[in-house]
Amino acid sequence: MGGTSDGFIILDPTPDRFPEGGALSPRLDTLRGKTVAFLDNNKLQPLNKYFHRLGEMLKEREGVSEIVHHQKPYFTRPARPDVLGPVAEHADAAVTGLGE
Amino acid sequence: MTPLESKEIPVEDPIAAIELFMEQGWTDGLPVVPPTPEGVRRMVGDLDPQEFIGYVPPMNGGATVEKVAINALMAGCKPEYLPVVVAGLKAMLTEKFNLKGVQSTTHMSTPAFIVNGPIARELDINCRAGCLGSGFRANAAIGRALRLVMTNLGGGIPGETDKATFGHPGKYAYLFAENEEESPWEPFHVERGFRADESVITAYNCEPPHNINNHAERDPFQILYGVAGAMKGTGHNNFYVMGDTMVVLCPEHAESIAESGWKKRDVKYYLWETARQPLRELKYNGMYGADYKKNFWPRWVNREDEESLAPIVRTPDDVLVFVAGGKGRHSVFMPGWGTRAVTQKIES
Repeated sequence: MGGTSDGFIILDPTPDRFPEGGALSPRLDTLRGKTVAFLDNNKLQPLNKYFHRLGEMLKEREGVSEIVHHQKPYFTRPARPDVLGPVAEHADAAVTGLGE
Repeated sequence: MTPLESKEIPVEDPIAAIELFMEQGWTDGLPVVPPTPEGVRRMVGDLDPQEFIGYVPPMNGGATVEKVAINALMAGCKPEYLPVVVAGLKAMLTEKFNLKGVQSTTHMSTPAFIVNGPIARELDINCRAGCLGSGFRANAAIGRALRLVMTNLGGGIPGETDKATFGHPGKYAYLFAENEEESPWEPFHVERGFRADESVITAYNCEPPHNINNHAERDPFQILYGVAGAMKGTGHNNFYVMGDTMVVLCPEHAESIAESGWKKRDVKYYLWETARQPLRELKYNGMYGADYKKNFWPRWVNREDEESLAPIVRTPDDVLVFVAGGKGRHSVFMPGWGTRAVTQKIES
């Protein structure tokens, strides 16, 4: 076993490395006048009422100018660049989530 | 020899190590074998410990041979098991397997692993009596090693990132081999285009096995009618999300079926044709409620007609059929989460 004069040595089973993520976009100073996108994972039927209500509230309370709704084609599969691209291109901020 | 790079943690003794791992959540809830540098070095053997395998979601922790070896030792693996663990991890890291999803879902599904080829015999991976239960080191330790990798490198923490409403006992270990010697048909990996002398591991996201007891019949129609009956239960994911589904026939059922001249393909077709439900039975289940028109069913299922029969999966090829188990006339149905099984060659 691993007995040494310092005691018993074991190795850390958790990761040392992680993917180099892209840089986070700077936070918006305000939502007023901005376009906010929602990416619905296409699981709930019919349309995601929760995201629609959130969008209405963002317009009413925060002065968001436009809400854009996107959907993943299948909730069971990761969102590929062809899904994420339009979200990133046309919105100042995006709301997405995992699960239901 | 490439050095090990993981952080060394000094503790008083092995019991303190076990308690530390419990406190840190670096376990499945049971005590682990303390991963000493000497033990990990033996586990790594001639491999390069820094060989990179991939990032394990949802935490995206980097899996190197060293990190997998640490977790394999903790799980109780012998060094010769490590290539199976590595191959099982590679299968889970393919995009179509959707490990991120199954690690986070509210559904109970977890990866099950089935080993084919000579390595199953070499490592004594049980394919016979009790192969889905407890008591067999290779099944238990390899299956547990893959779970610990999912927990410690992937960050699948029950109740936190792992949102499963229930989970299931297969989350401790869920691994068996195909009983190729007692199967009347070609092994699964040969069906998938591998050579019989190659060894592979297949990863498949699924529920626990559901037992199908049939001591009465020898006729394939009668035996498989009962299997299809179990598959027709509503509430499992296959009817709504499709993907692959899985049946494991016991050798006695398989032999009876084959005695009538049936090939494995006949079994798949029969089950696919018979395990169907009319839309009126399905519409209030799953996650669609009465609004089921955007389901994953094939186009030829008429959503306007409630008497239309939906198949359990899209094609007969999506019904995966294995032979395993011991004496007795019990087969099992393992409902899928809705994704594809992935088969990976074991390099050893």
